[in-house]
Amino acid sequence: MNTAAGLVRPGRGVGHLFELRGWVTAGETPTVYIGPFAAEVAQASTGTEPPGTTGLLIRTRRPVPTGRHEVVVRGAAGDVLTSAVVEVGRFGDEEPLRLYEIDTPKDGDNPRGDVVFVRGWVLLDSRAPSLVEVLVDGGEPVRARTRLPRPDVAEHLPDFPDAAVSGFEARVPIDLPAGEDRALSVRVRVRGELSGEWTSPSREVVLSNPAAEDEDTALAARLAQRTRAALTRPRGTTDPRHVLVFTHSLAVGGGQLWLQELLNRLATRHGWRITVISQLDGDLREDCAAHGIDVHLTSPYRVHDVASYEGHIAELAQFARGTDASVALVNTLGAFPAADAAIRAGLPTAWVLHESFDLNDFAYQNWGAAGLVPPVRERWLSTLREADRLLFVADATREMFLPFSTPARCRTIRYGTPMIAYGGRVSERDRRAARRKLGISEDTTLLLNVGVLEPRKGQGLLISAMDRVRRAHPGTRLSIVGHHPSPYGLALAEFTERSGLAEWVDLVPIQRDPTPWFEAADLFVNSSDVESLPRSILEAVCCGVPVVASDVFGAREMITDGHSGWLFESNDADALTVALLRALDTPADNRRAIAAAAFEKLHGWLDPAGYAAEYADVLTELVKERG
Amino acid sequence: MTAQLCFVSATGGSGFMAELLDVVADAVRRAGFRATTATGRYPDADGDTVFVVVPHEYFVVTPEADQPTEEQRRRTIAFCVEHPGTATFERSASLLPGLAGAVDINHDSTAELHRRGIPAEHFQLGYSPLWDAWGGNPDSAREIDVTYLGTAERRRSLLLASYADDLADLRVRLLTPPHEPMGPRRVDFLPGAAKFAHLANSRLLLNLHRERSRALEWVRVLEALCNGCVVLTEPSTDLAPLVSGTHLVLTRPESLGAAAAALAADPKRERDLRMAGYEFVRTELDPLASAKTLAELADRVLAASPGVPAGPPPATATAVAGSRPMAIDTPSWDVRFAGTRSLGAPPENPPLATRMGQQTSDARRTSGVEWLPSVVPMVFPDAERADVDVLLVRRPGEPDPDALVRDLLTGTMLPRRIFVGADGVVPRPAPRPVDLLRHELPLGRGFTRNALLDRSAAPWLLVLDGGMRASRRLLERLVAASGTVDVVHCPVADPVEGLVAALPPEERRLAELPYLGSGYLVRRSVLESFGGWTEDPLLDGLEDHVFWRRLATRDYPSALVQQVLLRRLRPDPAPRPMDLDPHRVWSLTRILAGEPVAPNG
Amino acid sequence: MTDELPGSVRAELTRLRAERVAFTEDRERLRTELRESELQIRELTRHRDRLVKQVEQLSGVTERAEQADALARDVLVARAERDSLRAELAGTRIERDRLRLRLLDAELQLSGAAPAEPPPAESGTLAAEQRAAELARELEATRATVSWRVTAPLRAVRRRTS
Repeated sequence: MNTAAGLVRPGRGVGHLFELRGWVTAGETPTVYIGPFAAEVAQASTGTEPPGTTGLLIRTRRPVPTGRHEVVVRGAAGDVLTSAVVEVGRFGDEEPLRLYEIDTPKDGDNPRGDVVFVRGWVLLDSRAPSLVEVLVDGGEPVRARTRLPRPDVAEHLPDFPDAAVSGFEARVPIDLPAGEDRALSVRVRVRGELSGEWTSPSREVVLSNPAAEDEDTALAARLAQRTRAALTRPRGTTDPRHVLVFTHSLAVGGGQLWLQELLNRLATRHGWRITVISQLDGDLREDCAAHGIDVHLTSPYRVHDVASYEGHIAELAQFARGTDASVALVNTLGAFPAADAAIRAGLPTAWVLHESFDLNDFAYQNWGAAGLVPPVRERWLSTLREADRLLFVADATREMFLPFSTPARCRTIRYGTPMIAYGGRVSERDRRAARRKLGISEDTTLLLNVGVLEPRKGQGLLISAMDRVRRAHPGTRLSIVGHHPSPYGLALAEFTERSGLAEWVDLVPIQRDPTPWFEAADLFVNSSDVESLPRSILEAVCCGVPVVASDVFGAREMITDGHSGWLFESNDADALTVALLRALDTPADNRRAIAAAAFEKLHGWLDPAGYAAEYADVLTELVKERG
Repeated sequence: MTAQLCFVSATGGSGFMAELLDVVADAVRRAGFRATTATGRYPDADGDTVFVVVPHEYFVVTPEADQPTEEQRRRTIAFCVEHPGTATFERSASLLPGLAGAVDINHDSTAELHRRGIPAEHFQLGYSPLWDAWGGNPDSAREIDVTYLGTAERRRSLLLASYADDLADLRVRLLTPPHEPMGPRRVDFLPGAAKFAHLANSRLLLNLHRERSRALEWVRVLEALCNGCVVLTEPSTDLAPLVSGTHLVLTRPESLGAAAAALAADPKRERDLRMAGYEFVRTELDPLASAKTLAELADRVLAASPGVPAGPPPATATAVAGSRPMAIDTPSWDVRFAGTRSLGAPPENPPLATRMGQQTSDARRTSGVEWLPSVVPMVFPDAERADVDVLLVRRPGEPDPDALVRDLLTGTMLPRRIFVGADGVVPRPAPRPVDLLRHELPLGRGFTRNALLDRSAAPWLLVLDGGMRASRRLLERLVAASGTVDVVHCPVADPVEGLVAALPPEERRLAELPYLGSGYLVRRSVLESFGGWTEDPLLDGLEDHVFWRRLATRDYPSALVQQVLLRRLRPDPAPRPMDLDPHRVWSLTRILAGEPVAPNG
Repeated sequence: MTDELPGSVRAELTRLRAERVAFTEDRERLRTELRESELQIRELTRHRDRLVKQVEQLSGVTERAEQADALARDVLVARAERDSLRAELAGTRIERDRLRLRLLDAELQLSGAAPAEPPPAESGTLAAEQRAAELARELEATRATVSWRVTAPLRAVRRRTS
């Protein structure tokens, strides 16, 4: 007797997990494959089977990605009995298909501190979404960082290529005073270009900001008083050209190189004597020695409890007074203990704030949830208030910190870069030589991104965007200079491979000197979601490379969309894709004009001599003010 | 003897079928044959009368007592209009064997009927002077840029909602009546001459298919083409002999809005399409040949069953028109509660509902209340301002209204003042151009709104919720429609339902379903006559429903602006009394609306 | 010669001399007081002049403070307007991006680089299709709870590895 089988076609789209009905000749045990995977087959009466046959219930074992899949029923001998095509996807007027989990917070959680940290993964209609927004009571909707690596999801959903980069996270700062609790609802809104929009159900959490312990507050006051007393002993004469510089590290890194260059110029061109106090050692100590800059190494700032904090402040303040420095320069927002010490030591203090973070958010990132006890947090705020100057690299950052100080004390001094030497364009010969050296052909359009691969810089988003861009512009190549074997870097490398983008995307290891890439590039793209004033953009402008940048903080002070570059809303894959398309659709001549417009606007302050001179002026001013 | 055709439409049926039969009858007459029309029960026949009905409607809607007899059915030709793949087609097909013959206006359904062994002739619809309210003048003025006519249905509502941004700057009228028998003219339903005048007054018509059908809606398209209304449709089968790009425009359903906006900005292309479509139906689609075929079919039917068919015995009394049925798929404003539809299960937890109400009452006594007038002086001082204050209440679970406030401030017309009530939520401290009332504990939307109302002095109030976003034309268009009415509202885009609150307020519908919510412009005097909004804590979530019921009960005039000017985040509120004790809460709304309480309560 | 003066005259002389001393002392005292008063007046005048100057300065300060207040208010307005316009810009960008991507899709489809829209699913007889549709609808619940179905195993993965 011949074996026969039949399948009832759904006649409509189905979801990731579905069930089919069918039948097979009585007595036979078929196997069923959905695409390449075996399905669960149970024999049961379905009411649709013809007489003489047994009903079949066919179930998916695990989620099936969006798309058309062939369902094949095979007999015992492996012969094909029947087959049907099943379409997995959003159907008609129903909500989009979604697979997701919000890892934190869970419903009913009670997180500590004043920041709600939301993390999870989501696939909308089998694709990583273009935009994920986190909606928390009492906070503004926050765009989450997306395309974060999730190897666990990839392992469990191997047939979904986007699963490896389906992660998202966001930090939502809430204005919650110490000692208070607040009930909040958390929702996540997800948008995909082709799959529409979906919002998760609410979860309720209670955020608790621990109160200041009374003994802590008392202790802080006592210790501060003791330090104050110790610092009233008279001090000898001070040198009006001696500045004390507090920084976090002497290792080679973007922010540190900037400071090093500034100090070198202050020492050699402006006749300042400099003593550097650093938490961490590094290669730049030699640079300092070469320029006659003294270095004192201290421990990382002890901020976790009141006694340690006050103790460290007292030590640093005494050290400061022991020198004959007459002014202090503190680098980065997290160095508030240094600023506190300098101010208490009686030194006029200039504090450079590069970071455009909300204070709650910054504290969360650096010291964890409720990581700063309230008295120490208070010191942070007081220090901002009392610092004689707060210096910023972008007006947007200045605006952010104005509420903590006064307008007269807040100033924007923009970065410069030695690459101003290029004068806004790279010669054809240099360009060709650079391309030859890097192995890039003449007819390739090179998109360049420079920066250590990390979630903040959004390179995951950039690679995803390339998938769409390269279909319209097959001759494009993206080079990301800054690859290193961190989890994020490795995950992105794997994602690139798996998505078949290796031909269009190059992950280049961190380079001390990325100049050849700047010389070779046709477009520069920066997709960071938080950046005060990325130096890499300035370097691109100096080399005449037109810039596509996320519209955050200082970017819009440098680039005017459509005129001297292209801007796009951050953390949105669609926006990034369109910005790249707009740039790539622009003919080469117009691109050159756009790059020229950018250089024209910025070159006035790109000369590093300029900003070094401004800093010298600020320091001199401070010394004079104090008399 | 040649047949005399009698086109019978059902009483209480949709007006469309009656209109269509009128048009066919007119074509038959113009072709030189005799035709009459009738409604309801078959009229007394002569020996040469052959009846024509639209079976899927006629036999369903006509009361039992008036149904035609066997004899009469043997003298009846079916006039079929439905497409395969729809329930109505099946109904139609099942009725055909009992009739004498059939014609079908669609090629695909004609083919399907043949496949099933039912001989049906194709009837080519075409130009009808009864449809043409325009006359072919290419320079005639049209006051509406984009229109849509189709019963409300989720798939199409979702698509219409997605066109909102594209169509924001155009003059739009979306007519989306509920799926139920329509009677006289309404803001969302235009029968007969009114419809044709409307089409003649509209530049573009959007066409979307119903349910799972993909075939072109020929009657609608012809009505439009005869009036010079350019049709933009989603991909359709059965398009021929119309040519996409020449007589009408075909785009993917997601792009229909963008295409309409683009075409509206290209008057030359629009005009070409308009005139080409009109010429085509006038010259190429002549129903007279089909009319002749129909007449010939009627002759054959006559020959097959001669004599005078007897009708059913006269009905003893005309059936009392029962209450008009209401559509069952109108979406509720609330995401969980749907009025009487939600009263099926026993109440979940009445004591908890009572406790919640008590808690809110207690909170009103103890909660901190803070009033923070705006520190930001007037923004955009040169912009045009309306005499409207905005009352915006944000409750727990709703997102920051900052985005909505910015939408309002960058609109084409600005309000005087914006009052925001933060009811039980703590906004981030930041200088805002709004006057903020902060309740430490959630005290209720109605309660908060009334507090804001006290602070306001404007003659008109725009009532919005947190979670909404507004089109830049919202205030401008609502104010434009506010001339003679007390309330103006518009449909609200919802990510799951497509459109909510897209129907005018009707007493009988509001009595069953809370389908209207916030997003309206209302005269202050009306609010004062109601004593503001209800503050009863048990009615948490139904404050606007009570408002609308009161409005409908007292017959205050309202206007529905048929353009999507608001959209909302899908709400997901924590459980409220109406989720825990729906019966009690629903009865309470009836009492507050002034409805006399039935014996069963 | 004083011997020749009568006693009363002598007494008178003595009295007058004493008075003269007293008057002289008085005069000295008054002179001193006068000098002191003059000094005081000079002092007060200087003080008054200083105060007048301060008042002048202060009114300048008040004026400037009022100006600063007005400017601060202007800044608030400007910032609010700028934030609103930025939000509008973001909205416009979203619209434009949507259209651009749709255009890209259309271009790709036309050039055949992306898969075109799949043809409608073929159907068997209508009745079977309807029945199947009813059956497929039973899967709604499954679809709605897909997340927990999927994540339950994921949680297991995490527990093993964390």
